[in-house]
Amino acid sequence: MRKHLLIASPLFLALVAVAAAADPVKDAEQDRVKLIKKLQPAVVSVFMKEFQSDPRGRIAGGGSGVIIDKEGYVLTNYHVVAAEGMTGVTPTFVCGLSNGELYDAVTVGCDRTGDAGLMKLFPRKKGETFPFAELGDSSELKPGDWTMIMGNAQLLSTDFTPSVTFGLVSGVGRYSDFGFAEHTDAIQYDTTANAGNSGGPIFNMKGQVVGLVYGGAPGKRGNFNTGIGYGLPINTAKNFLVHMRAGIFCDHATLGATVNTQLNEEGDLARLIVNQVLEESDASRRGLAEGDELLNFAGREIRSQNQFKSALGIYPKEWRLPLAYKRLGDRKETLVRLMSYTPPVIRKGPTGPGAPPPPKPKAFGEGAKYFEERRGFANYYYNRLERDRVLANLKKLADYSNLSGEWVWTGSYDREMRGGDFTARMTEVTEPDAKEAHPLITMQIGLTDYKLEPLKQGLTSADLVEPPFTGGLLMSLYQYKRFLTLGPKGSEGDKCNHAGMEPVYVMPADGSKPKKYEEVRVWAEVIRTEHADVPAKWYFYRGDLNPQFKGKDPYPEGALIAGEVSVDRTTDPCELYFADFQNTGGKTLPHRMEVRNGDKRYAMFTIKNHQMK
Amino acid sequence: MKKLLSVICLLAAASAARATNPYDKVAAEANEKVVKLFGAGGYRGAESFGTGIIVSPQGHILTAAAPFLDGRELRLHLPDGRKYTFKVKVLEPEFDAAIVEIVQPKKEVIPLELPYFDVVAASKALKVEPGTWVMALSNMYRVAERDEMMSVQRAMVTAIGKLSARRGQFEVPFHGDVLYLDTVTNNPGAAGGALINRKGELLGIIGKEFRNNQTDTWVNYAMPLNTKAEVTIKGEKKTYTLAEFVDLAVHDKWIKADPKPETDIKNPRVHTGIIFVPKVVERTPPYIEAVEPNSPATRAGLKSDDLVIYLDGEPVYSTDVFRDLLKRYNPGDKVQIEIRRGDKLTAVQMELAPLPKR
Repeated sequence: MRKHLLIASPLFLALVAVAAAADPVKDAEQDRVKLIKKLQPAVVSVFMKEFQSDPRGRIAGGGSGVIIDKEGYVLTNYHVVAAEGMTGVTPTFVCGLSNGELYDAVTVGCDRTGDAGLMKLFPRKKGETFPFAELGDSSELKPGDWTMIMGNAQLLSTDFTPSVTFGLVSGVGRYSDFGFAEHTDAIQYDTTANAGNSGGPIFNMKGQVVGLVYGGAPGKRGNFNTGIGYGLPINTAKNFLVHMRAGIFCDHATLGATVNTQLNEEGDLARLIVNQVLEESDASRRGLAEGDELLNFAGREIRSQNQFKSALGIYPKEWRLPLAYKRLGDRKETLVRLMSYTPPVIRKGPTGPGAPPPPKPKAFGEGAKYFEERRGFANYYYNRLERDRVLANLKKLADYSNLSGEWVWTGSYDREMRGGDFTARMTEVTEPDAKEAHPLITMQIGLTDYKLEPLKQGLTSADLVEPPFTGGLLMSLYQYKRFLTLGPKGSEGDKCNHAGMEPVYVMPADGSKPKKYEEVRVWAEVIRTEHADVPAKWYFYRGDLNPQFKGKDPYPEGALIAGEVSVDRTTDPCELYFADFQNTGGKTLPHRMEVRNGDKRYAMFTIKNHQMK
Repeated sequence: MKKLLSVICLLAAASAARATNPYDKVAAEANEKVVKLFGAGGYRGAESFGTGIIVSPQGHILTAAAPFLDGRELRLHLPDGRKYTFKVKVLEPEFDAAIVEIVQPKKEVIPLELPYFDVVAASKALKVEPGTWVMALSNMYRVAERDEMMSVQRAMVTAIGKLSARRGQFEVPFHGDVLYLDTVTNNPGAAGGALINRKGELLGIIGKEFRNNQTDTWVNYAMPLNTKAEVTIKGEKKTYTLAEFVDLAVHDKWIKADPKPETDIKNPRVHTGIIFVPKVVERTPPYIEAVEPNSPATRAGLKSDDLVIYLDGEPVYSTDVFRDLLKRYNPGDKVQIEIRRGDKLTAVQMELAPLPKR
C-alpha cells in the first residue's frame, strides 16, 4: 500500500498540474467577475446639473467616484467637484449608484493641486447606510500589477452600473507636467480610461482602491488615445482626507528651498544641491543652506528632480517631515515644516476687463442645506461639524467650560541636568467683549519667576517669548487655557477652525533623539485658534488615524496631546507635548508636559497637582 | 489517504499558479536591459528622446533610427541611474534601426558589464504568433529619467504582416514583417523600446509613430528580431534578419547599405486656403491674415487672427515651418490643426485639397 502510494503521488501531481494549468485562467476570470460584482455598489456615477437653460435642471456633464465609508463619503477628482469655467466648487450633485437609484450629494472638501475632491451622499431613507470600498496602500503597487478601473465612462452608465476596464500598472512615482495640470507621484496605467472616468476608482485585484483616475495623457496627436493614463495614488488622497472631510480647500506644500541637479563627471549619479533657501522658511531655521546636498525626504531617497517633486508634491502645507541632507561629508537629519504652496490657476475662458464673471453653480436638493461658502474652505458647514465633534470628544474627557477662574499647576521640572519644583498660575479669562480683562500668567521654575500679562499694551517681542528658550511658554499657557475654557468663542473673527490632520513627533521622554522620526510619529487632528494676534494649533489624538499602535493607544481617544503657539510668525513656535493622562477628580488630565522650541527641548514638566476653578 | 493527498496537491498547485503574478517581476527584470536616450533639441518637430535595448555587456544599444541621433549631445540614462554619453555606431535606414554605443570616460578603466539581451539567441528561440500576450517597455513621453522605471504596457499581437505606413508623406523605409499590437505602444519616445513575452524574452523592438497607408490610422507595431530586410551592399542584394544586423553591427562587420535615390520635394502639393500674415522677419509667427472662400480652411472654421500652434501634433514655429510641414501631405489627407483664438486653444480637422490650377 505504502509503495503504491509513493508511486501514485508523483503521477497524481503530474495530473493535478495539468488540471491546474488549464484552470487558473478560468478561475482568475471567475474571481474577477465576483470581485467586480462586489465592488460595483461602491462606484458612483456623478452628474452635474445646470439651471440656466432649464429651470428644472439639466444634466450637464459628470464624472465618477467611489464611496469610502458607510456614511456615504465619496472620493472623486477636484475637476469633478469644480467644473471648468465656473466660479468656486460646484456645491451639489446627483449621484447614481448601481442599485439604480439617484442620490443627492454635496461637495465637502477638495485638493486642487492633487486633483482630489470629497463629496457626501445623502441617504434616501432614514438610517440607510452605503456600500463602500476599502482603501489600499498605493506604495505597494509595482509596474506590471493588474488594475481595474470602474466608473461612468463616456457618461454611458445611464442605469448607473459602472463600466469596467482591466489593465497593467505601467509605472509608479511618475512626475508629469501637462501645463494645465502637474501630477506628482502619479500612478501610470495602460488600463483604458475615458472622459467620464475622471475621479473613478483604480482597484487592485484585492478589490482595494489604490488610486483615482485623473484622465488620459494629452498626446501631441490631439485627443487621441495614447494607451496610457495617469492616476492619483490613494496614499496622497489619504494625506488630505481628514482635511477634505473638514471642508477645507487644501493647499500643497513647498520646502522653501530650490534645488539644482548637479551633474558631475560622466557616469556619476546626479546629486541634488540646495540652490536657495527662503529666509522665512522653517527649512532655513533648521539650518538648511545653499550648497547642501539633499539625500532623503520623508523616507524617500532623492536622486532626481522628478523624485524630489514627487516626494514633496504629496503633502499638505504645514506638515513636519524628516529631511536628510549632507554638508561637508556629514549626514544631517532634521524635521522641517512645509510652507504653503498653491500654484496659480490657469484660467480658461474669457478673462480681463469687460469679460462677464464666470457663472456660479447653483446649489439644489438636499445638499443645499449642507453647503456653506467661506474663503479658504470648500464647504464650511463640514469644518464646523468636524471642529465641534473634536471639541465634544474633548469634553467627554474633561469639561473645562465652567473653569474660567484661576488655574494652578504644581510639580517638578527637569531641564538639562537641572531640576526642581515649578508652579504655573493662570488667572481668569473673559470673553472678548468684556471690558475688564487682565489675564495674568506667572510661572516659578526653580528659583526664577516669570510673569506675563498677555493683553497688556506695549509688550515687546522679548516679553512675549518669556521664559527665554521656550518660544513663549507663558503666552502658550494663556492660549491653552483660553482655548480649553472658551472653545471657538476664544478666537476672534471665526478663526477657530479644524485644520485637518498632521503628524506630531513625540520625542522620547528621556530627552534622547529618536533613531527614526517615523518611529515617534503620532497622527493627530488639528484645531487652529487665533487670539490677540497669536495663532496656535492644537493636536488631538484619534485612534483610527494611528493603526500602528494596533489598538494599544498611547493616549485616550480625543485627548489634546500637543500644541504649537506662534508668538512671532518669523521665529520657531513654542511646542507643548502632553502625556501621562490620568483621571483626576472626574477629569482625564495630562500629568506631564514637554516644552520644546526649534529642535531642542526646553524642559519636561511633571504636573503633580491641578487646581482649576 | 490517496484522496486526501490529491486534494492537498490540487490546492497547492492551484494556489501556486494563481498567487504568482509574473508581470511585475518580468517587467522589472527586463527593465534592467533598457535605456533612456536623449539628444539635443527638437529636430523638425521630432522628439529629442527615445528608448534603447542593451545588446552587449560593453554597452551596445539597439534603437530606432530616430532623427535626434544625427544631432549632438547624445546621452543616456542606465536603469540604475548612471548617465553616459553615447555615439552612433551604425545607422541603417533599411532596418530603420541603429546601433549606438556608450562612450566611457577615460578615467573609467574597468569595462562595463551590463545586463543585456542576447539578440542572436533570442532570435533563434523566437516564437510569436497572433494572440501572443506581450509587454512593451519604453520611455514614452520621457516620463522617466535616471533610475525611474520604463512605462510598461500589456498588448496582444493581433497580426504579423508587412509594414506599409508613412509619416506625413514620407514612406517608412522598412517594409519587412512586423508584429501589429492592439495597444497604443508607439507613442513619442517609445521607438526603440523592448517588446518581450511573458517570460521576459526579447521579441522585438518597438517602432516609430506612423500612419497606415490605407486607413490613415496610427499603427502600433514592433519589429521582431527575425524580421528580414533586403539590402544592396556594393551593388549586391542580400537578405539579413534584424538579429544578424545587430550582431554584425556590434562586431564592426556591418557594411552600410547603398543609399536609395532620394526624391526631394520642393513645394507642397496640397492647398489649405490659409493666407498668413506677410513674412516680415525670419520667424514670422503663423497668424492667419485671411482665409480663401470655399477652401479647406473655411470648411475647417479657421478665421483671421487665429494663431496656428500645431499641425498634426508638430509645433509650427513660423509660417515657413508650416509650409515645410505641408510638403509631407497628399491631397485628401486629413490633418489636425491646433490654433489659439483669443485665450482659447482649439483643434480643428482639415481635409487638404489639391493645388488649384493656375
